[in-house]
Amino acid sequence: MIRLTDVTANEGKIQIAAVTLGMSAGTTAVLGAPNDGTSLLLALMAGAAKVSRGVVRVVEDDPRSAQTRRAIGYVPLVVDLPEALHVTDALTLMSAIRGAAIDVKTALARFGLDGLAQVRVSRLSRAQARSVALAEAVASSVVRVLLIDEPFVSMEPSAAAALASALKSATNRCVVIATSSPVDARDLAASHVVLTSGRVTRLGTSNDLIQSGGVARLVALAEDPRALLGALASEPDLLSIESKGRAVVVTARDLETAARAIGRGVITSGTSLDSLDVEHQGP
Amino acid sequence: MILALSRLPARRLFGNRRAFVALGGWSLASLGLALWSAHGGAQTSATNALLGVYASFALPLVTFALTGAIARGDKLQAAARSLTRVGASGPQAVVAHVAVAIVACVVVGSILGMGVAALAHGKEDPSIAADIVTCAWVGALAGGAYGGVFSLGSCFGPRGAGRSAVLVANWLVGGGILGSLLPLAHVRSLLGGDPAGALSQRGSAFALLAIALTSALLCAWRGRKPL
Repeated sequence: MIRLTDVTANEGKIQIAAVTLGMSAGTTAVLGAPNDGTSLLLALMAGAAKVSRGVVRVVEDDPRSAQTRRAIGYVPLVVDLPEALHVTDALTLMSAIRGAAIDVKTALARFGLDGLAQVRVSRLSRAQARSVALAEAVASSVVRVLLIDEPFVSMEPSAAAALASALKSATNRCVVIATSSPVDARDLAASHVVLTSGRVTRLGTSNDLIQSGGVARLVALAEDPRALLGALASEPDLLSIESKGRAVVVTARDLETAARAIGRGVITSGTSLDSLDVEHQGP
Repeated sequence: MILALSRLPARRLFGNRRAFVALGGWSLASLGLALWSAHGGAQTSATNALLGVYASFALPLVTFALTGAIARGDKLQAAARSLTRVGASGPQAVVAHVAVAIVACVVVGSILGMGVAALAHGKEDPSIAADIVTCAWVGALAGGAYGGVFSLGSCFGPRGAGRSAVLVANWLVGGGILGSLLPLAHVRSLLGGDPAGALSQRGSAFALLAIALTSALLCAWRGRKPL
């Protein structure tokens, strides 16, 4: 359903370089930090960004054509919905444009968004807007390709909770999620693509993602976890940073990279570490 | 489909307080000045009010605010992005915005023109009924032309800055060949001012119609590649 052939593109400092990929029905995770080009790759598939070289084909057509966009459900970090309309009107209009009416009430209820039906789109929070866009895309029978950037970031808790089952039931669709979390990639997707500095460095199934040494997770108990988080935010080599109470969980491609980043973070933030452990995951 | 797509720009317009403040402010200013002009005892006070305030300032600024609200102060193609993202054709989505802009500006231009003509009527002005009828159709044509040409301006520049460039150019170029490409010279001609270049009043009326239609077509052409 999606084919990228020797695709090169850039948006500011973020680059995609000579990427060749094919994706068919099922869920694929594009794993990497946004700086590695994961969001840009999704935008290229959605026809929302321009390629400077190469060819992108979605359902065997140019994703920038109107007909192809009707078949694409794209949920970037900041979604563009008809902001002047109420949610129900917006979803009705969007489904009319796609060419297949949806039951708006059911679509919203599936993601626990019933309460937003009569809210004006411009009054929605970013998380609510993303959740509404997701609900519309999942409900539409026309959508064959679903592109979701960071499925658990800026998403309503009820929508995030329903997402996994919604994706599992979408077996005839090509679903691509961009994530910096190997755990999310493993939980949601059957296969994965690791993107590093805009290049595909690994393709495989998600079952071996955590165990094969492809990523390492370190748990740091810091005296001032917020300061450490702030310092780690500028570390370009980390795949993800999570805060769990006093613990800061850092994911990188290997232990050494994760440990060095934490070391630099401790020095920069001036905090001290109480402990540093490797997090064990998977069976 | 264009009718369905026009729901978004129409709701955008009705939900925009800033546009209504501009509309209310300039309407009050032009109607107030029309009244003041009538009570000042000028023999041709309606002509003065129509040429001085309505044609030169109130109409351009009100239609500028209305088209800006429809484009949400952005490039027109960007304003249509929420529609094109799910598969609306770019030209159709942009034309839906332009159509709403033109209709809104036609209505406002016509009503405002009639109001100014009625309030500012002087002793040597044509009969009040004739003045109101003339101002209704001139205001409608002028509003349509401004709605079109400001929408076309919104298709260019960062955040649709071309719209502001059109507004300034409309004031600066005056008559002549360049002036005949923009509405102001034609509106002034139709309201009793100097002719726009070599055009008669009938020519100016057709020119306003042509400006509106050509602008809408050029907007559709600009919208063929969605952002």
